[in-house]
Amino acid sequence: MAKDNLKKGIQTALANENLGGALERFADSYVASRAKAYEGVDFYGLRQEIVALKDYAAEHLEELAERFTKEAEKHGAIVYRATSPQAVKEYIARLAVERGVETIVKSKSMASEEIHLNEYLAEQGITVKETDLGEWIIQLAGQRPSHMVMPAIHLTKEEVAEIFSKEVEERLSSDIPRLVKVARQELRQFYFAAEMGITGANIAVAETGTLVIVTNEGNARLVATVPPIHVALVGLEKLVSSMEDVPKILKALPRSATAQKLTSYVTMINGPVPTIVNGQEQPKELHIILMDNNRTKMQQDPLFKKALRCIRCASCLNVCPVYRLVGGHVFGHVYAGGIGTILTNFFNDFEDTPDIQALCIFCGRCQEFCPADIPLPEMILKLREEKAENEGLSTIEKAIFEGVLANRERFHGLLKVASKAQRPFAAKDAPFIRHLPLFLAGFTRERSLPTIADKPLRELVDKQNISVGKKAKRAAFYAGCLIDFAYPGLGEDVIEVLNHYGVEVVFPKGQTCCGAPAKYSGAKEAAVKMARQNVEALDLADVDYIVSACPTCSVALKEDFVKLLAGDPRWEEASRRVAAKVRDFTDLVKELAGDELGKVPGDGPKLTYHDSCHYKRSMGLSQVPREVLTELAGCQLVEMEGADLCCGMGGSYTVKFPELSMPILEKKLSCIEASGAEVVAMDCPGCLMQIGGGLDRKGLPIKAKHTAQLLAEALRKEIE
Amino acid sequence: MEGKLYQQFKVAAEGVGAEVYRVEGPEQALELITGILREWESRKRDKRLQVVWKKGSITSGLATKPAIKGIIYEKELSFRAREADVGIAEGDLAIADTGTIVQDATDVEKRYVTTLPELNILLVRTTAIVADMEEAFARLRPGRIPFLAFITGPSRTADIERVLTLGVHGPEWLHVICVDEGGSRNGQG
Repeated sequence: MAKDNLKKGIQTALANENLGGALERFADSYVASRAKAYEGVDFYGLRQEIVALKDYAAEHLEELAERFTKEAEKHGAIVYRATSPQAVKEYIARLAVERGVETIVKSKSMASEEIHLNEYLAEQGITVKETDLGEWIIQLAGQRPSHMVMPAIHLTKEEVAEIFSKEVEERLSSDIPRLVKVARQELRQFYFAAEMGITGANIAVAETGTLVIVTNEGNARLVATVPPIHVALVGLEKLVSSMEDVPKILKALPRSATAQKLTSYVTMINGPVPTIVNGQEQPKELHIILMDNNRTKMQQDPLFKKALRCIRCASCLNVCPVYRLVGGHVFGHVYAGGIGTILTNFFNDFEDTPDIQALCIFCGRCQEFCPADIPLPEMILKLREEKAENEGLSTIEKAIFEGVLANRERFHGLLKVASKAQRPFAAKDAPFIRHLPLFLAGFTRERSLPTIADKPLRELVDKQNISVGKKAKRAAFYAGCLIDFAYPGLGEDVIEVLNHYGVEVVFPKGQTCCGAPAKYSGAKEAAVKMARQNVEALDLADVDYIVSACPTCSVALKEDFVKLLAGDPRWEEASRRVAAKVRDFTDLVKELAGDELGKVPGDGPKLTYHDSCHYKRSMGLSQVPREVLTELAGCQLVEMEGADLCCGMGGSYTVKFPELSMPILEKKLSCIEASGAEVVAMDCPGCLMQIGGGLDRKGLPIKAKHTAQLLAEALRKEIE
Repeated sequence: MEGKLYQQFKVAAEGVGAEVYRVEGPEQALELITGILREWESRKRDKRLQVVWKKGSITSGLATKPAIKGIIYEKELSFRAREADVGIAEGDLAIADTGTIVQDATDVEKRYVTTLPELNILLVRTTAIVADMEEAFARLRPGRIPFLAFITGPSRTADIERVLTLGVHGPEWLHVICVDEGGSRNGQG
């Protein structure tokens, strides 16, 4: 049910060309304009400060709420602490009734969207006017916001003209400045007609009881100024300890949200201000509602607590390769994208909410751009694991992860069979196999797939002297499924290059799948089994390094196994020993090559580099491969737009959501093509399969290669 | 130092759509304002220009009003501001880094004057330009002022197809006049 909803939502979104175009243009320009806004600012330093101040606030949530209440009351505000959405709604409705309020003007408040305040007030017979342009459009259209900062980003100017024309009963053209003027004229009267104004707040300062409201349109200034009653609805996560924290958030929020150094208006409110009622000046009535709605529940979880750091800039939406395709409505509720997946899970308990955690491709770009360093991928994975634990895996997933992947001999046996048969995976013969990780599936719609090699690397290495001459160092090569069974030639290249730099290579035969497909499906039990098998195989090898040329495997070996096996007396120590020896191939080569770097003639192919998600963001490797490729393999580097955009592979994602994976790949391919390079290099065999297959299918004359292949080619050329 | 901060302020504020001028004193500011208002009158053919002017320490000592055809209100501003074309007020500080005017806007008239008309003219002392928000915070008491406004360029939106459009709810035009000397020093933050 939930899954059907999700699939249906995706179909609808993908079919909407306007949406696709708008999001695409935005996502493309966002990264560059944001970078410009951050010029001269140490983003990573700033975000450490934000992490510190927000973590402090989350840790002292109750204390800060009490302090804020006390200070704001000293200024003359009335503070109401609300636990549930219902309490908030009733408080505002009661106040409105008591004061004879018939019309309310609102400036943007995601907290009010979160609890569906407008609907409730309308049911009480109160007219509510959204004044933020985007929110007003959404309200008139009877829709939900699809983006936290730009609620109506999914609508075209023609659609807006249509919506406004109905409202003002005049045929309007789609001229944007004219439409904006119409909104100005139309809404102006309501500020004066309204007896109450409702705003949100971006920051609530505990030590001074101050509200900080950030806007561009100026509507919040009017909402807070004109009507005699001001109600500010504030989520508890907006609390910070001191006034010193404010400039830090104000430095990050506009830059990350709209690529501005500062928004047009920042308003700081300390208690009620004078207002004009019937031509007379009188003090305003200021109510501040501090809303919990499961924020304290969030605070009690060591991982999800970090979501309280969020300053609602929406950069995680803006850089998400999935969001840019489908927009916010697919996420089923008011909060979208990475953070939306987490917030919706806590703030709403609708059973019909689509299973949105499934949308994540785990590229990690959201966390990289997050000004509060929220570990969104880790959180989403946790949700996925919880779901698998609570609901169990599907029969198919069980068969794959527990029946096949976790059993090395059966898994490798199947692969062997696959290599012999021409078309072994036709749905009729073995339906479950279609759902195996991609390299086993017959998915060739948008890109060609490599065949399973006749002989996997594990058999080739038997017949090959992999240790030429006496070597100073010894390494175990952990190939991972793709290199072992689909790209054994790439495995041989890795060995050849390592040999060249004085490293003897062994291939521990007990190694098996790293378990990433199981991990990213939430199948923890199977992942644990695979971790044990691999640790056993690798710990036995008497080596200096364990080398991997696949970043997903490297992360599994270095981090996941240790976590999965922690607390297991038999495996914990061994997993740590293994983790300590793991080296990425290219990174190790750079170290081994030492002085040789930069001594080759730069006459190699014209090349562009694709940053694989796990390689760049989990392992921090981005400059290293570029240096190795130019200074050791002699390639000429030309950067492409969006070098670190995901290729859409995401392991089994491409099987679960081909309708998303393929457009993500298309985008990548167009970036590669536009670079004018002859070769696109990368350090991940998964990306190699996705991108290589895509280029081949499109008939583009560009070769996709792993760094190891280019290094091996360069070495051979040198020897000639 | 003052010159450097002014330059930085000017670049930042003009970068977000404001127009920035610098004059020696209140008299020169009056001349400049007169010029701006006359130009505005020439654009406006249908009815007389209406201006609301909230005097502050910089301009309160001025003996004359701008010589224009339109009407300049200095009283009943919250009433007049609803129909006015131009609002003139004063800021307390300016922030060089972001091109921002900082204004204690607790006075309701100040808020109406700076928010409702299409053109907003803000005067600020050149000596009141500070480097960044931290410095502005140190100079003011942001936890005590009931309504503290930070104004950076005109009102803007990009809510329709992300096309930047000025003047959605607040002023479409913002002119900032930095005044080097003169006026009364009372009440300066």
